[in-house]
Amino acid sequence: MNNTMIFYIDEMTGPIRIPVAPDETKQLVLRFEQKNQTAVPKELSRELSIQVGPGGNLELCIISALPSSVQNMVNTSIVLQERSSLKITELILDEGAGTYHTEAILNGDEAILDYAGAYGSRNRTKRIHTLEAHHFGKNSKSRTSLKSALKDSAHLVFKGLIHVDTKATGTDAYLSNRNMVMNDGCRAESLPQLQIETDDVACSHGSTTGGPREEELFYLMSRGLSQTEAKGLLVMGHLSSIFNRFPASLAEEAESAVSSLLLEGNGPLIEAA
Amino acid sequence: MPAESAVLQDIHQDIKQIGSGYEERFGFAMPDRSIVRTEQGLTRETVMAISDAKNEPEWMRRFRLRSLELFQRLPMPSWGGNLSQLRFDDMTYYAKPTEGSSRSWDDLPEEIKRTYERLGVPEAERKFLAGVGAQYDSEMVYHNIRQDLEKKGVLFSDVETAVREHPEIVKRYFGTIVPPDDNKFAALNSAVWSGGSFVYVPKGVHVDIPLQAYFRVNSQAFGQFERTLIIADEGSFVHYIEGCTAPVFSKDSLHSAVVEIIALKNARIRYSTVQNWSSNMYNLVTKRAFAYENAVMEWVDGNIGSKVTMKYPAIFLMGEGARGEVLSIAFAGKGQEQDTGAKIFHFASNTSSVVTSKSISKDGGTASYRGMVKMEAGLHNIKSKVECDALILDEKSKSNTYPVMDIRSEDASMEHEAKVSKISEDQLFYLMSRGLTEEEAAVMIVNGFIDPLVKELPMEYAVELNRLIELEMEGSVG
Repeated sequence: MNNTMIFYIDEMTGPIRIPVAPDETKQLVLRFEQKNQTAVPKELSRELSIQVGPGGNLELCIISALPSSVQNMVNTSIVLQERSSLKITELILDEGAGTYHTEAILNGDEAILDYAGAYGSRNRTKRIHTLEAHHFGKNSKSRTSLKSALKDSAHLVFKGLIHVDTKATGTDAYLSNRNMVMNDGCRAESLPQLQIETDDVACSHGSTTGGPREEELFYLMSRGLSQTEAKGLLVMGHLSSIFNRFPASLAEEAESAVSSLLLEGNGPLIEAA
Repeated sequence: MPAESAVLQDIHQDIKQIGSGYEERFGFAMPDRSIVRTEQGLTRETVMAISDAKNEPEWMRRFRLRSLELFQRLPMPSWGGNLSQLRFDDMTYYAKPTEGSSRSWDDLPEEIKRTYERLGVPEAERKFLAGVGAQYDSEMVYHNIRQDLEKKGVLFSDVETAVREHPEIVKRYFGTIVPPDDNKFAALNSAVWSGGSFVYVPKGVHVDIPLQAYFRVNSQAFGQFERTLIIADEGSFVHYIEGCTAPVFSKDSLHSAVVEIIALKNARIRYSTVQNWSSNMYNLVTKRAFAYENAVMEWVDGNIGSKVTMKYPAIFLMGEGARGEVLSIAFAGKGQEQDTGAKIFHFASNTSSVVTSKSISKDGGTASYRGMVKMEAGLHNIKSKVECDALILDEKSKSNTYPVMDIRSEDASMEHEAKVSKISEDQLFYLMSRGLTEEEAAVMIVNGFIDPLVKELPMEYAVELNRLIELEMEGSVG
């Protein structure tokens, strides 16, 4: 996946549109960065509009790592026509507070959405993530998932929704939210919702929140790792399914970005393992 | 039909025998012979009249009037079922059917006695209950408890009697678990409450067969506002069962109860409800329990009838080692909204909770699970598991799931799962290939679906719940 687009948030004007023509197949990497350290506006809204035409396929990776001075207002809207598919992997390591709203409309029959997001946060940031899949077409399928790792006094509110319209028979949808609370004082609020308006469906959601498990920590520490190292390894393990969806070159970079955000001061991981 | 399964044949036979509908079994009404009845609508005078009829102490009268002010001030809930048709001014808030509560069915007026006989309450009492309370419109007309339990110090009466005879216990707990300002309907109940059960189980006493209260609304466009207070002292156990039905009328009625439960150290309380209101009933109930150190609180909550139900039994885990469990089933049929769920608050370490919710919607009904689990910061070893399963039986019906999980502690484990589906073709095909009709197969699958809940009810109730489900399922095709 070498088609990379870098967006400098301090230079951005207007929404980003990603159209995919009928039967076209596209792969894209989007990166949100900051060009000029001094000229960053305090509040930033960015709009991303993705439209995949009939039979089109898009594979999209997004990495966003903006400093704490930026308050993020992010809106991603997705429309999928019949037989189209979208695989989207999003890693959000922004340090500032903000709201992130992703709304996918599966308009056409047999449309497929596969969304996986990961989110790391530290300090006292509060972030609200909404992730909605609206099924209108018949036999459409969605897999939506958000994983998070929270440190210090970070506060995450996750609102997920699977909505199946009366016409959308044959819908197959799964929504998942997995939060790791790295220390006392963080707060994870999870609100996964289902609104199902017809009967011929298979829809489910799962949500888990918790700290690193004691038995897992114990296992790693019995192998010679310190508690901090063991915890770090578990955090990386928790988010590893996201790294695996990135192209190889990007995966490594993503891993080290997560590690420096969440495990900074925890000592080197690789040597310890 | 193949001869392979006698069990299957039995069930087949059972299903065929189910005949009568709600209207005949529960939907009948007796003529109104109430001896005190307030005017339609709710004013300060209504509240004073209720208080006068009960000859209450001043503190309770003040509590009511304060609550009325809160009710008038608090907003209607902005979420949940559709309450736009609910007309507070059209309701009658108090109707006293008899002069006092009796300990013998024979002392009751003939029509009231006949009502309970038709509902099978005296028979159930003889067979398998330790005590029975029966409420008819606004008052408990009957309350009785087995003498051996009475000798052990178990108190089981209507709340009015408790206010008179045990004011120290009532004053200590009444309105502390569900304060009047909790929500609009808690305020309404606090202003006009009447009837309900008061249960106190002394230290170490195990009431090993259940106590039951049966709530019957007989009047039209009527509001029933019972108030239940259950206290299980250290190391005690009690199982309390609540049943409710009403006649089918064209005008809507309102049932808005408040249930307050206190499980002290090492106590265990199980509270089972089989709610089977008629389809003209708004059922808007606040139920909450406090569980202290190593106490266990269990809600078993079956919601079958009513027009709109909004009910979320709550457990506050206040002491270390406390456990909470909610098992809930909702059945939403034609024109019904069942907005039900559970709330669990973990306030202490080493606490755990389990919520299992099952819902079925058919004929355009809407079943919603609405729940909350909250874990405070700084606690250790807290666990919660929530599971919601929903079945939708036709394309007109709806199912919603609205859970909230708020976790602030590292040493916590929170798991939530929900799924919505229809009856699978494979299951139907299997059963039909064994000689069942499609409808019978669907009934059987639904019965299997709610089995975890039914198992937790005493035998007689389990049978009743199964029958009700079958009744509701009549004429439906998976």
